[in-house]
Amino acid sequence: MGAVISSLWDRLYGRRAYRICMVGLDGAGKTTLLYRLRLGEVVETTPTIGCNVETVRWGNVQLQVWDLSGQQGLRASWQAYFAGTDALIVVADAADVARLGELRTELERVLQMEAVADAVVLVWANKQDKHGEAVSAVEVSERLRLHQRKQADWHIEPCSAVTGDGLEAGMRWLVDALAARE
Amino acid sequence: MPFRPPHAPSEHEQALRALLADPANAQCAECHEPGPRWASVNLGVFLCIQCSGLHRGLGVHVSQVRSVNLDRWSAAQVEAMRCVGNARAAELWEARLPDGFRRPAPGDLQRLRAFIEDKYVQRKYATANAGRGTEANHRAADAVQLLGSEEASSAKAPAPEWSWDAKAPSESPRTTASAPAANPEPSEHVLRKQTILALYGQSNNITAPSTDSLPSDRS
Repeated sequence: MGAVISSLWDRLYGRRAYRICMVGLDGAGKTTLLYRLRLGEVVETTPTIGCNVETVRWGNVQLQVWDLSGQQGLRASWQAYFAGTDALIVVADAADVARLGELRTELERVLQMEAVADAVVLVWANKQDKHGEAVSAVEVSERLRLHQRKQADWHIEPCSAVTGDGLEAGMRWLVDALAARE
Repeated sequence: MPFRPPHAPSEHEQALRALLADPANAQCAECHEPGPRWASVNLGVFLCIQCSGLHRGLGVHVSQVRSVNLDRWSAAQVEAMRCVGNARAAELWEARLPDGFRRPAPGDLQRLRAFIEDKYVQRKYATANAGRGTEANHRAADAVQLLGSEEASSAKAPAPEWSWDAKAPSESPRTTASAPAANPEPSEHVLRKQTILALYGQSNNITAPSTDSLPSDRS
């Protein structure tokens, strides 16, 4: 009976807890984004060694967000966190055009892993507050060659973890995409 | 998950660790906390993890942060750290620290954040002939990549004598063919160092201080 109600509830309201992994190069703003989403404020961060994990509530949905270290020598550990992940959040520093090629290489490596074959992918083109330095989400998308991805469910959103712009739009897309996939 | 270094110390990591043994590099360039393991590759300074976080917040057009042991480095980046380092960077960026300046303590993030922004973005304490920060879009680390292809033949050579007054190679007087032995060309290593420092100056839009404007802060 409990199972029936639970399944009915899931049917009506969607599954309410998702596992999300957040990846990107070092200094892209993953940890700042995580705590902006969790606390609604900007915290001073230090480079992440290992990972941070927080539960973020969005409407009636609970997202368990794993913020993984972007340091080069620690990127190999990402796949240890990918099992059972529903979504990937990729954070790009749109003000660091010189390293978007490096991010593309990492992304190509990650996206061919079986564990994330069915994951929905949100790319945040972060640091749009750095006027004159940051490039547009379209340019980030082109440099990452996102359109060549075979996974259908991806979306790119310009944002600034510092001002909060673009976070709601990105989260809305993510939650809708997760619900639609059920 | 217990922390394990992802790789055995590379040649570059060993070179960086040797640089960290220099007393000036053995403390964070900003808060003077001992034992830095991070660096800004374009500013040429070694940092503690907290100040590296603050540097990252400035954006890569101001500071490009790498870990000594968690990132891969190019030979040119290591060479740039060797050429600049905390002592020389302080001569440039802290030349005009006011008398009695009290350096923010390690962990005092608010004051450190303000100090680091004053220092590199506002250029409040930089040597008097430094330009304003906005023009300094070029990246020293990218610039020294140009030198990266000529492999650092000098990596193991002892540090030659040089000073901020040394001219960039393009300005150095050419030795005439008639006077070869008496006035030998500066070694390749010296030239390389001068080139890197010239690029550092251009990229960060800062010029070498005269020898009488040494840092007053010795806290």
